Amino acid sequence: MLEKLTLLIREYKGDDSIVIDEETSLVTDLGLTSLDMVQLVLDAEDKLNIYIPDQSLKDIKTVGDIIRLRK
Amino acid sequence: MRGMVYGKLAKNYDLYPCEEIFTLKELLIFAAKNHDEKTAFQFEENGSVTGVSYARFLSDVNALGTWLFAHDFRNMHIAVFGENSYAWIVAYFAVTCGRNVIVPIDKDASPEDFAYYVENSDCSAIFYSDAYADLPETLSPDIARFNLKQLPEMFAQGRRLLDEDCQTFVDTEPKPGDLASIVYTSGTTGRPKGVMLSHRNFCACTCGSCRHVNTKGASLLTLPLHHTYGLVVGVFCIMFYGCPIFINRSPKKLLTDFQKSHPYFLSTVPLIADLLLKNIWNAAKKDGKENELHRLIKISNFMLKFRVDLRSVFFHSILEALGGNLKTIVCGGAPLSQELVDGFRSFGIELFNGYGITECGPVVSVNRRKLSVPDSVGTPLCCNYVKIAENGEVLVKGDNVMLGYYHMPEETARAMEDGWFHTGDLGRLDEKGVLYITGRLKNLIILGNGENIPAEEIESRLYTIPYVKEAVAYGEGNTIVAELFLEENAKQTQTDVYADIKQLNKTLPQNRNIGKILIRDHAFPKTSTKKIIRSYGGTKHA
Repeated sequence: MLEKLTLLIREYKGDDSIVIDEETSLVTDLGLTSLDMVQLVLDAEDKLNIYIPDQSLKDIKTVGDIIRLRK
Repeated sequence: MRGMVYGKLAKNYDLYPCEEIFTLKELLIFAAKNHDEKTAFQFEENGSVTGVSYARFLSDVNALGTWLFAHDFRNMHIAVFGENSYAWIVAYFAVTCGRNVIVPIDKDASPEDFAYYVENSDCSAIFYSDAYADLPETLSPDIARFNLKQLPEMFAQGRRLLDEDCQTFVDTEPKPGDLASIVYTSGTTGRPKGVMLSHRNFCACTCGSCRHVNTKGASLLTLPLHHTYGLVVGVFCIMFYGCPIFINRSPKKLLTDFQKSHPYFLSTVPLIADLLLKNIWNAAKKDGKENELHRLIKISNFMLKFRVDLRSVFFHSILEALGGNLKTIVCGGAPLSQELVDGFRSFGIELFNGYGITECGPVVSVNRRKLSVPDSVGTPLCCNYVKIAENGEVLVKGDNVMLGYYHMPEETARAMEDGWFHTGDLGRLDEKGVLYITGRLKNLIILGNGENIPAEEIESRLYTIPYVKEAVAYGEGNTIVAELFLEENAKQTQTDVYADIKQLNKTLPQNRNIGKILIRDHAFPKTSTKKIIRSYGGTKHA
């Protein structure tokens, strides 16, 4: 999952050099806004066949959170 | 207090006509009478779009209000909690039109804040959505709980009572000065404050807004309804015009809802406006049409100088991504860049910047179609006066200004002076009465999505890092910046600080995560009383 998310985040940010781990902060490390996070979640749902409920969106702060909160 | 007073005196062109109403019930009846079978609300349900007429909306409100009265919910404070939905809006009107008081609560509130809002506002009941049932279920059994999915049953029972001639709710007439709602807003220190807004406050703001900016087409509701801006501009104003309101229920569906609603009008915040414009450019880039688009914009802008408007021809296919009909966006809640205004105008979409604050119902001023001044927040609404105090603070007086803060008479007294509300924002008025916001007196971080975050709240957490000697938090666009001065003997490297802030972020809510860290070589400049001097928008305040 981490590898797939790496590719997704690289594509979203347009930066192939991005390296992430589960501790990567979406705000501090990747500079994402709350709406960027929603777009990233949508991409992940679309391409990685996962689902994150709306109620959990506010709890996503790190890459690891996306992995943990997916259904 | 000296200062030029503007508002009804501002030089302006004719305002749009708008019937005066004084209570939310009058608004509801006005809309049903004048727009009757026209579609009021649209929303996605079970994969298809459902529409509700203005007449049906009134009928649903009357049914739910009658049910509430039959179960002795009178003279009470009732909360509503959950994502945007038709049921949320019906509950709001059923409560307020029966002279009860509604307390809208942020669905993303922390458990502590949620409990505080319910308790502090003296709520006796709560309407909540099924998706956010967890927190309401923790409340004391003394507080009546209604899942919004039960509303159809309550409507049916209410209608039966109406058939039996239970007309008490229908005959109830709220007074303009009645408290309609308590809305919680972040203070700079301490707990959030409950802003008391009356029917008159809401209606003055609604009529004032409608007289300055008009619309004639469908709208997409993108803002959370617990914010007065989303509610007043996104719902109340549109009800006046009798246009359909498509309710966006999830941020994940924001872009796809444009295709379903084909909006003509949008009230939103800079963060969303920015996303929409970026999406247009990203799509052009993906299709290899970025250069072509730049070229067309140049030609179109050149032709506009000769009053030849080719924008609908040139950009028709591009604007399909936003539903194809979008003509007007009103933006508020946070500072807006002129680049964004110009960016939308290039495509034929007018973006009007406005200014408001919950305590003023919330709209104070807005730019207009024929009176749009770059970098300004427009002229004050006709319902309020604006003046600038000697210290540069923006003061507001009018029918839209709140009754006060709930259970906080001292805070109310601090905020009001001879009827003038102290906004805590700094500004200036030009000779035509156009308002410019230039900075802030209060230590609030205002992000692009309109979120107000007390700087002290972030700073107090930064001070829990042992080697942080001085800390200042502020906003930079959509990012929270932490500027730090470390203890002199601190051995931590930049990487250590970075790692500690990341750990701190894990304990902070997502919307308070720090995105940028600056480490100072020297201590912050101080006042004579040793308070750190903060810098906002080019001005310095202790």
